[in-house]
Amino acid sequence: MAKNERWASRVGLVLAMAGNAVGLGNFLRFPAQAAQNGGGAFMIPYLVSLVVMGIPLMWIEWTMGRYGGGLGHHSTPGIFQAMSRSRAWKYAGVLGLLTCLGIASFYLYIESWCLSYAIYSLLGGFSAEPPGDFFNRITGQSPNEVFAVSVPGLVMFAVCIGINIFILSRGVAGGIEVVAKVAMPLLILFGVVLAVKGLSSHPDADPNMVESPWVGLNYIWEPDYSELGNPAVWLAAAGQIFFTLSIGMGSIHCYASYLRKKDDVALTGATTAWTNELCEVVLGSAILLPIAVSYLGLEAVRQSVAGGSGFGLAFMTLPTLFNNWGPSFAPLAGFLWFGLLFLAAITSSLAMGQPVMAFLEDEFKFSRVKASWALMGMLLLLAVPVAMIHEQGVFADFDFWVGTFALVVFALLEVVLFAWVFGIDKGWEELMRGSELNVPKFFYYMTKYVTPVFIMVILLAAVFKPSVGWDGFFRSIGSGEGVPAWEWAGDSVIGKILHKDLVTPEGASPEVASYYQTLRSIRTYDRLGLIGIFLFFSALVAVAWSRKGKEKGMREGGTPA
Amino acid sequence: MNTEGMTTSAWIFMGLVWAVVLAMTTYCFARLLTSRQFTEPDHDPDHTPPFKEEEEDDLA
Repeated sequence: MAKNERWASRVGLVLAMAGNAVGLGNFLRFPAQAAQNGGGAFMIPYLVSLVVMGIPLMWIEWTMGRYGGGLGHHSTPGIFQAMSRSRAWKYAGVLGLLTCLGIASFYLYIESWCLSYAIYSLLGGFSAEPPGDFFNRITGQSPNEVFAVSVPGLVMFAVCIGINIFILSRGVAGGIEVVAKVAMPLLILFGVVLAVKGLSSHPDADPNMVESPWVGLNYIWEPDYSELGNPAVWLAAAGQIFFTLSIGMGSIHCYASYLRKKDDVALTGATTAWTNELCEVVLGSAILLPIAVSYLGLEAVRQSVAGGSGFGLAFMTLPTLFNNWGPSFAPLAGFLWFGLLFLAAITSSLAMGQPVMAFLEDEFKFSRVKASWALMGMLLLLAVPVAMIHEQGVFADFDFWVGTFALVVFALLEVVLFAWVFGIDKGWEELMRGSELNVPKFFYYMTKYVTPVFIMVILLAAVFKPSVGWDGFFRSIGSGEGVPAWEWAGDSVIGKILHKDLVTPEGASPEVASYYQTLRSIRTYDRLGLIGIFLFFSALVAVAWSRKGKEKGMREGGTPA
Repeated sequence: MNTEGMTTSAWIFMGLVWAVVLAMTTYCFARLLTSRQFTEPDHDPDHTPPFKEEEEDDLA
């Protein structure tokens, strides 16, 4: 059962936690976001967000996890309930299971792409086939087609789910920790090799290069100070901190719950946060954009990352660019790049599966193997719509609702629970129990006052974002033009509810109009599905606690005073 | 390694941020690997109060 499990070593714990945090966002999203939002100047709000929100939330989650683990809870419904007298908090904790399961469903799909690309690269496949064709082959996607079926893609998806389930069934120390100890050093090694190779190339030595790779690095780091006053840049920086540290999901709570009652969480938590930053800020900025800029030129890359994501460059372009590194090294380079992404993804996806398994083990006394089979069933159920409908359908919708919005809501709930319901004094005492780091006292006030306000601002900004963006909105007011005509942004919460990002283009043919209409209907159903999953887990929580109440009553009734 | 293409301000920003991140990561790992809980995993820190087992009395 989960409550008897422990991490085998502290280094293993740090690597597993860092593996949880280091994911695709470190290597694909971070460089694109930094370049988009003021380059080096982006790092000022980024580091402020790390200190004001990221590290306090990390410590909160570590502390809550260890506290709940000490009481036999390894998933957020039990952990939340253990910290409050109100019955409602265990239902707020259900959000931690929903996010883990929902994100895992599409994250594992991307993980399967990475594995497919790594194998195909090593076999030299991209010397003959354009990566775009390969992508369509493994996803089965084609323009304006709602349904996408690819047998090889589905097989690889199932293989990835199987690998994750197998590792999780081996337990925390025997599965997750062993994988983290191998994967994290390998990931860093792969990243260093690619960064050194990419940055040491020069147009004088390689006629196919159009610019120095350092121009790409400069694109990320050249500071644009005018962006510092732009609230949208601050929101983007805070959002990146959320994604990169894997906070607001329930996975950190779960991993920390396998600590002993007096094990340090302050120093260990800080170490994992800074290890993640090392992978993001140093390795994340030194691979994708420098290599892409050196062969495509700055302008082409600027257009590719205009949406704030490096996905297109990573999967559609980079495999071709590696061919410039020679027929012998190109397959290896592709393998290293997609191997790096696969390792980053699998160490994160394992962290998403464990809380669901721990919930079933703790509250329903499932064996580890039975819990892993149950998790596999749930993942397969969600995998079908994610993989068989165009990515703008379920995939993109899950990414927004459980991969973005729910994280912020969950983080707000947990900081309120920790600092205001459980009590910041008690919380601080818990954080400092067994601590090997003297946490500065200003974090006490930060956690109580600044972090909740900071998250609230992010949440409100995401809910009410106008179509002109917050930068356009404030620029309009600042320039004296007044408040611009209000229209919801397609990526705002309200805009998403109203399908503003899936509006049928004017003059679209009936086929295209039908395509958009079908996608909108699918999104409505997948949201109902997410609500259904939340209600399903809530019902399980109610049953589990009701059963506990009866067992407690019988114990007390049957035991002589 | 020819580093042309980087402006001075980019160098300064990158150098500063990389230095902070590398220094903090090194510091944390150094503290972790020399800590008592690492070198003596079974050590029971005596400066911390005993953990309070709280009974959950709010079962639904």
